[in-house]
Amino acid sequence: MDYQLFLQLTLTGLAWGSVYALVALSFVLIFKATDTFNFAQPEIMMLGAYIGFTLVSVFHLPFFLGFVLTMLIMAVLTALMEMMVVRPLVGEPMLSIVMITIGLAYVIQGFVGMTWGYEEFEYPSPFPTDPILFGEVVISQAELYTIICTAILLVVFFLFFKFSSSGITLRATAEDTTAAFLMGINVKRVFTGSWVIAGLIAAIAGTFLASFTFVDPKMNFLALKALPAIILGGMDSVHGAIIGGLLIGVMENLAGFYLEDYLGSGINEITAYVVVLLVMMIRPYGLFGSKEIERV
Amino acid sequence: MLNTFRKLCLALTCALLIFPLGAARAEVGVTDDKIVLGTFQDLSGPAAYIGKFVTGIIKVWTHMVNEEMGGIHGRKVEVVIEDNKYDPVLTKTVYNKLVNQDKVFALIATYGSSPLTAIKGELEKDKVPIISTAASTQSMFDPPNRYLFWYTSSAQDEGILATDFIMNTLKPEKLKLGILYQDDEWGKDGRKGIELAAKKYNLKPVYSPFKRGTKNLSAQVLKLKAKRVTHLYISSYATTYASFLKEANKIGYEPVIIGGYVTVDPRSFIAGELADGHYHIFNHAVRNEGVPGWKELEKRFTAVGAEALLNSPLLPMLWTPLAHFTQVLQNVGPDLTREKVIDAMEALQDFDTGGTGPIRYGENMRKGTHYYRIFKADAANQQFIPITDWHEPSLVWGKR
Repeated sequence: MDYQLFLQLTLTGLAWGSVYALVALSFVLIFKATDTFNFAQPEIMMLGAYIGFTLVSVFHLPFFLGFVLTMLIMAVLTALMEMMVVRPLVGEPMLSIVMITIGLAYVIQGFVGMTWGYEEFEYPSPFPTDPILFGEVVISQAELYTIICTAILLVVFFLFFKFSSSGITLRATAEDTTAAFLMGINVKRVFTGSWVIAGLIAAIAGTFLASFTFVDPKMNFLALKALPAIILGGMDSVHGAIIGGLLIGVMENLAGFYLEDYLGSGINEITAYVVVLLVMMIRPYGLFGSKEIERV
Repeated sequence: MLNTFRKLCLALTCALLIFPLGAARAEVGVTDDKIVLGTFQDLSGPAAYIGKFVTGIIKVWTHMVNEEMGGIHGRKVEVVIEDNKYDPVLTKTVYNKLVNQDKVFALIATYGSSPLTAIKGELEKDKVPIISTAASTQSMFDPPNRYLFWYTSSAQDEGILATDFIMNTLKPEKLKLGILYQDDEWGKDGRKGIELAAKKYNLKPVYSPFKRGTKNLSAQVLKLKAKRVTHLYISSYATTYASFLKEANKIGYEPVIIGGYVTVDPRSFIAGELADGHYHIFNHAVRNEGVPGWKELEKRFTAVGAEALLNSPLLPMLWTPLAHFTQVLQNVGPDLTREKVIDAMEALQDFDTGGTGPIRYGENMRKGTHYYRIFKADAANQQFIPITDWHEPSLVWGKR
């Protein structure tokens, strides 16, 4: 029974960790391409979930069509956000860009509250509700598809950054924007592209998270678990972000079950941060992050 | 000439002496033609949906008093509404504004344990009554504060009622009692209720707390299943309750569930048919019972275009104290003071709510709710059906 419990907790943790991983991936994609940090990613995730909910539940579109339209709308919105909000600040200190993304997060939060209100809604999940049995261990279909989708995205983006010319362009721009520009890379397009791809991944994460629970105006807080995931995996590592997210999902579930009686009910909420602190002491650049060497 | 000047000075001195005495006799917030009341609502914070709901109810009440009743003893009511964003620090600020700047007579229709806790001490100092608060924690009425009247469901009562129901009505052959609760003051009151009842019935319950805002309940659900809990009281919001049902269903865990009063909410049916057949504790009648009190609410709210507010089963929780307060103001008469209102609040017994749920205060009794019923969820019709009569918990507050 104990072994089954452990497996059950691990499997459920992997599913929740997959959501953290997807949001972490969206953070890292922007960071890798633009060398800046977009603090509005959790809110972009939430916005994607609300738009999907509206298209399917309010306008009664078939789920697949609603999902595709959501992706299109999110692509346009994130491109506009980058062009209108962030691009004018290119070349300004990093802190200014970070502050503007925090401001963007508040604007999206306010917009969601004003448009959809502050109540929870049931998300029209496309996944069948019957759980799937693996021996004695159970997983819901929404959880299973989330894990599969995360695994696919991990492979796709690993290959994209490693081998495709677009991926190499993104990495080159992040490494040295001026040099990339002088080499003929369309830096503006790279910036917009990274925001769009990151926005789409965040919207997918929002769809999965809403399928697990509900659409609600506080779902962005859950996505903040992606931050320790990024630090754990390494700020500039795609596979690090994903593995970090998965690890945090599993660890918080295991801690919530095994340590709660001894350390209190909040242990699963702080596990991620405790682990990050421990890892940072040993590997300050994360498990898979690049170690920056400054030569003088 | 000097004589005239002396007379004038004497008249002025008398006027200056008499005027403040006259002013001292008038109660703060009360004039010949109006009573100024205040409230703080979350209009733009995390509980803004509650603020919107309560503000709507206050508007309907104001309309009833001013337009339909023509005021109370010739005075119309005016309600100053301030946004506290559910923030305790901001609540202190807006409280001071309402009391010192707007000079309100009393505060009405408040809620939120942390905002109320922030100003509890001030109430006694300023002698400003709050009629009433729907903050769910025991500390709002225990120990009683002369100026703070409480009316909602007590989680401690609910814990005892849930155990009473299991032991005396369900009488299961196999029983392992458990509680899933939000690890805050409200949830801990529920836990205390379970502890008290467990002592009475000689049970050893399983406690499964979770932090407010937790969405992933898989560890808690697995713990309850692993510890073989057969009967579970849940002290949390409807959406958490629905999340629990989904997670429990996933792993094939099917305890008998008794939800607290906030689970008597259409949002519990987000879980679909999984919500069917479970029990809920509630201190009001629900709309589908068609009691006279609800019919009157339907008429009144529809007449002013506020019918959307009728969809919340919690409407009587806010409306009943306002209706009770209206009766109290009438009973006090034209010579209105805060202390007289408090005495009249204590004196008014058996107020007729039209069957929406009793309300009663008394000397040193600021707990307005004493009676509850158990309901059963009907997911197909999205309704809650009462299955017991009104009754008190077996361990009555004050004698526990």
